Amino acid sequence: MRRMILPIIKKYWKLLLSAMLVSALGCGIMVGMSGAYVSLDRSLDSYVRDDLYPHAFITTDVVNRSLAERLSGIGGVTRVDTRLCGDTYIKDGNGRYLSVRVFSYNEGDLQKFHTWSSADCGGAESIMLEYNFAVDNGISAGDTVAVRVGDEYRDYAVEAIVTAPETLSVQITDDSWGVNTDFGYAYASVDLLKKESEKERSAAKDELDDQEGELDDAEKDANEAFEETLKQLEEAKALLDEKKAEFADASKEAEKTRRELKDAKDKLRGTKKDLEKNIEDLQKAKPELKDAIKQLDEAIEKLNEAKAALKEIDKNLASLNDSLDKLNAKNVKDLIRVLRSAPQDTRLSDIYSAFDRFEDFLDVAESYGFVYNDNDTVAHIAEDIDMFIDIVESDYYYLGSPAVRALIARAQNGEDISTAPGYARLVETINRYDNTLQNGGDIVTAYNNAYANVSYLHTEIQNGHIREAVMLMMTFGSDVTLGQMRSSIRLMKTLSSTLADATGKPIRTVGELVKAYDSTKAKLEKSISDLEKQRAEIVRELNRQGVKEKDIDKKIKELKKQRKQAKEQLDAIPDAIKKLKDGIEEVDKGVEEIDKALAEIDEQLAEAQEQLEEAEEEYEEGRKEYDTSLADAMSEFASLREELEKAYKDLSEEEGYESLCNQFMLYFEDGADQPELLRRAVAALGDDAVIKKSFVYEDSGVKNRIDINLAPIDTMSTFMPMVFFVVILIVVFLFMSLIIRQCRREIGILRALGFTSSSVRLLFCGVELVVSIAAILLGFAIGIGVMRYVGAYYRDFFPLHSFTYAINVKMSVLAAVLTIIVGQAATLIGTTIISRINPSEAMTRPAPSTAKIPRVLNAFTKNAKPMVKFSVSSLLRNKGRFVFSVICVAASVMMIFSSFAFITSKNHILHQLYDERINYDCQIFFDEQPGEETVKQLSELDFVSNLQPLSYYEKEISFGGRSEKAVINALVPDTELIRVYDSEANRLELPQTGLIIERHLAERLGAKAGDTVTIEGEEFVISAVSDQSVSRFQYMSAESAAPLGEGSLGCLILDIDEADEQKLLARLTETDGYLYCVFTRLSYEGNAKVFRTYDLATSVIIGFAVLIGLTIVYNTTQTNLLEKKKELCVLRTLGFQRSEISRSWFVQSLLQFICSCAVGLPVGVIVAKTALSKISTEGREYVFANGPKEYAVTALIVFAYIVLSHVLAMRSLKHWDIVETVKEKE
Amino acid sequence: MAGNKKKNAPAAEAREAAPAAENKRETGGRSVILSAKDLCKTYGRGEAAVHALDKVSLDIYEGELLAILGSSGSGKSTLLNMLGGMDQPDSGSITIGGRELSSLRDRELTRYRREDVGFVFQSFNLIAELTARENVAMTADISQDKGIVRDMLELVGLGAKLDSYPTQMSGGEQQRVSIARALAKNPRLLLCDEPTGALDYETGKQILIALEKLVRERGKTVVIVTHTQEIGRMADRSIRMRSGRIIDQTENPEPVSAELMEW
Repeated sequence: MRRMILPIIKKYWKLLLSAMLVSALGCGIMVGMSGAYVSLDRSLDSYVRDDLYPHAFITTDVVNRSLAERLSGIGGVTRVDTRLCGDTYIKDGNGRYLSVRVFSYNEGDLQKFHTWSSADCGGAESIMLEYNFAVDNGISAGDTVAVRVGDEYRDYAVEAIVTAPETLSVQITDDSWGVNTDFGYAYASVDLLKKESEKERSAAKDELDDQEGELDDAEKDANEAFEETLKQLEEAKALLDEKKAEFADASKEAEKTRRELKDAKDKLRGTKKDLEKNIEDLQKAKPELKDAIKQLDEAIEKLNEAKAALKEIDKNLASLNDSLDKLNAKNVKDLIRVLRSAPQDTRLSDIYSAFDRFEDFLDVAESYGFVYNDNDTVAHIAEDIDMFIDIVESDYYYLGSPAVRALIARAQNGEDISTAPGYARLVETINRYDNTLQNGGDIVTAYNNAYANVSYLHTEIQNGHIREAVMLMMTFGSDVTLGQMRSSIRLMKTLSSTLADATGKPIRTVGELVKAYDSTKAKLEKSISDLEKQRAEIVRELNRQGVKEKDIDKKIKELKKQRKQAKEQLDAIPDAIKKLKDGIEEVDKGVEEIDKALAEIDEQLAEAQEQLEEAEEEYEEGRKEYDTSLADAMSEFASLREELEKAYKDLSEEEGYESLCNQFMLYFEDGADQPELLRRAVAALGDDAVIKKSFVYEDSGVKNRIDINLAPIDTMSTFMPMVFFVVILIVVFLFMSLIIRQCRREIGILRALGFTSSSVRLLFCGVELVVSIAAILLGFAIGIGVMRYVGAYYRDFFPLHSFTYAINVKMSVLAAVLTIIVGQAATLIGTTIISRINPSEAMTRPAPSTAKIPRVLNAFTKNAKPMVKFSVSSLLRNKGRFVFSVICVAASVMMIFSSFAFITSKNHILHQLYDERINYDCQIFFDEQPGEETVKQLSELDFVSNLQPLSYYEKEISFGGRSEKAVINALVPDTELIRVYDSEANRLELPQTGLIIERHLAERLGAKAGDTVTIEGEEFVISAVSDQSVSRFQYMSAESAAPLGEGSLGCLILDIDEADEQKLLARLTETDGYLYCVFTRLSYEGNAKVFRTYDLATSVIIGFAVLIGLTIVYNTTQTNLLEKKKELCVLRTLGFQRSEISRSWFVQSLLQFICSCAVGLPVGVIVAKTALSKISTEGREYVFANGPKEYAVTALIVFAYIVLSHVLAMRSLKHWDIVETVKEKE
Repeated sequence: MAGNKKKNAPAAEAREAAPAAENKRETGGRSVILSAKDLCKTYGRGEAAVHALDKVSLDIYEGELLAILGSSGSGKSTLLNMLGGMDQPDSGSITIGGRELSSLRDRELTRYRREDVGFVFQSFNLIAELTARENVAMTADISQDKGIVRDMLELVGLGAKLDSYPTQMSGGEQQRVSIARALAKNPRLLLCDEPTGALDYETGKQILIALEKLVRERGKTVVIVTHTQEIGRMADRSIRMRSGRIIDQTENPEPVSAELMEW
């Protein structure tokens, strides 16, 4: 697979190279611009802080050697220098007057400088000039200049041309107060500015002598007073010692008493402890007794329960045994035995009825005289039964005979038949079956009854029932007697009833009776057994408790007795506790009395001790006061003498001088806490100097100005390259995606050959990695080149003596990582998508499709020539590529346009400041507002026109509870020399009263036009709100400003020709109170010079944007051409000239150009506004000022490179092999 | 394009006048419009050298239908490309209208292809993004007569498909658009490279009928390069090539109508 990397690179080397170049450019600009800025930042930092600038400054009203030595004595301070600062001017060799700010130093106190050129001055008075100032004015080392010192000019040789922190170019614009200083800087000996005053020194000497005499007298008086005080103190000490001894004796006695009392107290405490223990024991016994009673109750209850249970069981057992005995009775057993042998399904009711019939026959038999007793067996009776049946049958037929019926009929008719024949037989027969006659009834009734009975028997006989009944009786055994039979039947009835009740089931047959008997008996036996077991268990339980069954009642009695005793004990406890508590109370009272006695002793002792201590303290204080006073007095005398000596010394050294700006320059040890050391230094100066300002380098104006000026460069070196790089990343992503799509066929082949998707991805990621690494390497190389080029510009601009190049590691690593990530992502996504396509489909070139031209373009192409339509269709056929191309070019448009925004914005600032607001040529500054005479003299000069005074006020403006420090310019009304505008560029007239405030200040105060603000208690109405890109001045008329008093600086503004500037300077040398003057021309040049640093960054970005756009458009055009190579070759075959094809193809470029501008310009506006807002500061606001010109120039540049790339791409037409291309198959 | 019109006009006039001028050589009552002589072309070097053409000489007469037959690699397409000004011989000359093609510069060769030659390709080579009308109009734009687009398409029987895109047409229709495109320039010579190669039998036959019609009814000169031997029967003359040489040249006094042909 690895072998494929090289062929792929070889085949698509142009596209890959393009991607690589684009990435490299992105990396390059990131690395280069950020590196250049880091280099500048570090170099400036190193140059200014580490090399040139002191670590801290203290600006005071006075500096001298003794104060400097005092500061040197602070730990951590390694060196202290002093310098004076003043404004003067010099005359150069050509007689020109040049404003200079001079720093003068004592010998040996010179701060470090970088010397650009120097000359040997041969002992002459010398001066060093700042590099830019010297270069601008053509002064070289070795030249002689005339410097105004006091009221005269002295010649000074220019010893060296140097750079110092104050003179760095970045300082030219002082945004904090909006004053543009175009004067130079010079460095010289202290003599240049030192002011001497012999008279003042002599007066000071006399004063010091007087002070010395007074000091001697005061010292003598003080010594006498101290001796007297010491004597009194010694007497007091002796008395105190005596009292101390007495106190020691008393303490010893008290101690003895205390010990005794303590012993008594300890004893009482022991008693109390015992009592408390008893109470505690009783309290503990209470629940125990309760528990015992409870347990006894439970035991008694249990025994009662056992006793009741045994009684119940015995009762049940008796009942059960009784029932069982009944079942086990012999007659029952016999009956059951008989029944077991009888047919089990015989119904009991049948037995009972059969026996009843049997008994009936026995009655009939008895009427015939056959009487049977209980001892006759059933078998015996059965033998007579046939005979009885015959008798009954005979009687039945007799009674039913017609003769008998006739006789009865006669009787019924009332006839007396007693005499009739057969009557006796009839009566005999009737009486056997009915006893009506025997009871005095009539014969008819008796006959009817008898006949009915005999008929019943006859029917029974006829039905065989009689015989069946006999047979049934026989089943009980042939030897069963009638008596037995009768009792068995009774028993059977009783037993069946009893068992039915016991089992709860009806008993209908012999079998059921036997079964019920068995089950009932078994149940009774089991119940008896269970109860016996239960009883035995209860007895065993009792035995386990040591109670015999017979002793239960005895045991219960015994337990009840125990319970009664426990209850009595429990009831007795409260009384016992009460008694014990009374005891404790008594003990406590005893202890309290002892404590009281002890406290009294302690109190007495403490009181005595306190009195002693107070006395001792008083003595110590007195002694201490005496010592302190003595030491203070001695120290004060010493200090005063020292100060006096120092004052003598200072006076003798003649170094006490005052100036506008005197400074101590402090150097600290490495790693020292600089603010802390500065604070200590300021404290050390105390009241000997009025501190005007003190700051360490980090808080200094120089550092601040460096930071302010570096901020825009920082933004342009990081933000813009970052935006650019993001665009590049998008381009690279799209580019790599495009390349991968081009490799569709190769991917298809690899997949067809059996390579997995992941191996394909790996292959292309490998290729991309090679490209990315190459891009990173090349990008770093480009970046280093850019860094060195831009860095060199920065170095020369500032100018920096040494410049250390350093790469911005974070940005560089970020660029490298993002390059790889984006490239890999594009490759992975692209290969993944194509790998999903069927290999056979991927291998085939996609069939040409007709691109649908969007409706918006259709209107233009409808009537266009086919070639144009073909060109447009070809472009839109691959919409992804078209969009990619448009995005890339739009990005280029955006970069160019936003770069222009920087240029126009800074031009706008210069324009606003110097063309609109400032309309004067020169500002002349005085130490106070010049008098009318001075103004008149200057205004009458023939080369000066339109001279007007201007006062500066630094005041706090208050509104709505907020206060802000602000600078107010007081002007002549209706002045044309300064113009003020509002945010809509309308000019604001200076009000007669009230003031115009600046927009930012208004926002901070929350004030608007018409509001009233307060300045030093005076109220002013805001007449308008101004808008100023640079500086933040408020304006008011001089008349309105009158209540504010004198301004902090006096100033005159005027018009003057450049040619007359020197005449003015010459005249100013003779003017009282003159400080320096600022020519607007020079101020403008200074600012313009600073702004030129931005031009370089913007130029680099524009250059890269053009390069990117050129590359992309070239590639897009080239790719579109290659895709339509065959068609174009066909056209060539048909006779189309290359120029004709090129012209028609240019429509594509035009379309891309239009779309790119349509997208890129609005985005450019947004990006530019964002970037400008980022670099805007309070003191300098960068506004978006691109106008039609910038839009046009941007479009023109883009159009130019699009044309160029088109021409370059079209050159390939020349080298195409028409024949071979036309032959190619789709 | 206005400039082109002016430039093209004299050339067209010259072409109209050509039959009467010395540009035309009479041979046996027929006018030779193109003459190739000793054309040689070799690809590769040494042992790998392939002689695509080896001293091939050929005259093409006005109004004839010439078939160049041969198997693949015989050199027939190379010869056609040279005749069409798309390729240059290593040696030998091609003369047309008094101009020697090998001496022409790229721009002049392009003009030759624009004004004198029409190409019909085996794979049609239409512009997919353009309709039939636009494909034809594109070549009409560079010719002297811009109003013949519709005529040409109607001539090949596609009057109803003027606004169809190539992808919406059959192979035969596409090839007919291709012929119309070639004819739109009113070329002196129509060169057809395997015009039926990518078509089925019936469609191919229709194309041959259309080409035959151009020759017989419109008097166009048509050269057909094909490996289908049968097509030689419909030609006035057929040339057989093998290994870069002409091995046989046959006059066909009674060419068979394309409609009657079978292969």
